[in-house]
Amino acid sequence: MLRRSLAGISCAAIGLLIAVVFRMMTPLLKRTDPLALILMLGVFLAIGLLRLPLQAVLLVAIPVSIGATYILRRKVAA
Amino acid sequence: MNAESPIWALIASFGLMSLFAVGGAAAAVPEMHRIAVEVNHWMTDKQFADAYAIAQLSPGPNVLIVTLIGYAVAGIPGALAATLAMCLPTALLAYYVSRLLDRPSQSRWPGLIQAALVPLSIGLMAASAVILAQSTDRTIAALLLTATVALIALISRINPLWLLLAGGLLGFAGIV
Repeated sequence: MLRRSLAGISCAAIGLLIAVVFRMMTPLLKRTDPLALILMLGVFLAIGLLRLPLQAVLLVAIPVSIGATYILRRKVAA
Repeated sequence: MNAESPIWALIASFGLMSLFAVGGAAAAVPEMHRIAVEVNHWMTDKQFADAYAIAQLSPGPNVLIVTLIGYAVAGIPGALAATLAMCLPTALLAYYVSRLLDRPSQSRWPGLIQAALVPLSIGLMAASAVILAQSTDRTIAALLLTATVALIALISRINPLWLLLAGGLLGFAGIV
């Protein structure tokens, strides 16, 4: 009985998570910032589908993201 | 306690993970799944999905899933060890970083780093959703329930607890 209820709750909980992800994604999609979208997609593929270890992915993704954001902002400011 | 003890494995895994959990517990779910299910076989896919559901349903922070994994591995000591390992390092880090940021400065680094991390967090959370859905949504009805809840949560401002309750009732009724 608890088992069955929990299965239903799991499904609903994942639905909520998907909703949160979409909510957070909307501003990125609106700005159509290709860099952010590529990084987001890259992390998603590496972790969600390829199941690479988190540390390895982030050790690459964080410096790339910070570096690229820095360069882009400098360009905008210039 | 020897070096083989799963408690040390818990502390090492979650302590390290906590520093990489950009975007909170929801973003760390794929890594927890990898460590607990795929690498160490501490729990099954199903048990992991259940732990996630319980952590979502219960009041308090979502990081509770770590407590449940620890409990499944090594009982109460495991639960305590995993929770502390997950929360303490980041809490200390957050404390010192926020003190650093409180200093008045014209630095643009904090804003820049934050902007750089947002897309990564969202990518991680999307990965969490996919991994959890793979273990939970095994039937058409379950998939439909997930999709419906996602849609309702997106277009309305309903309290998420009602949606979880509805999911529980549908599960209890044997529909999903």
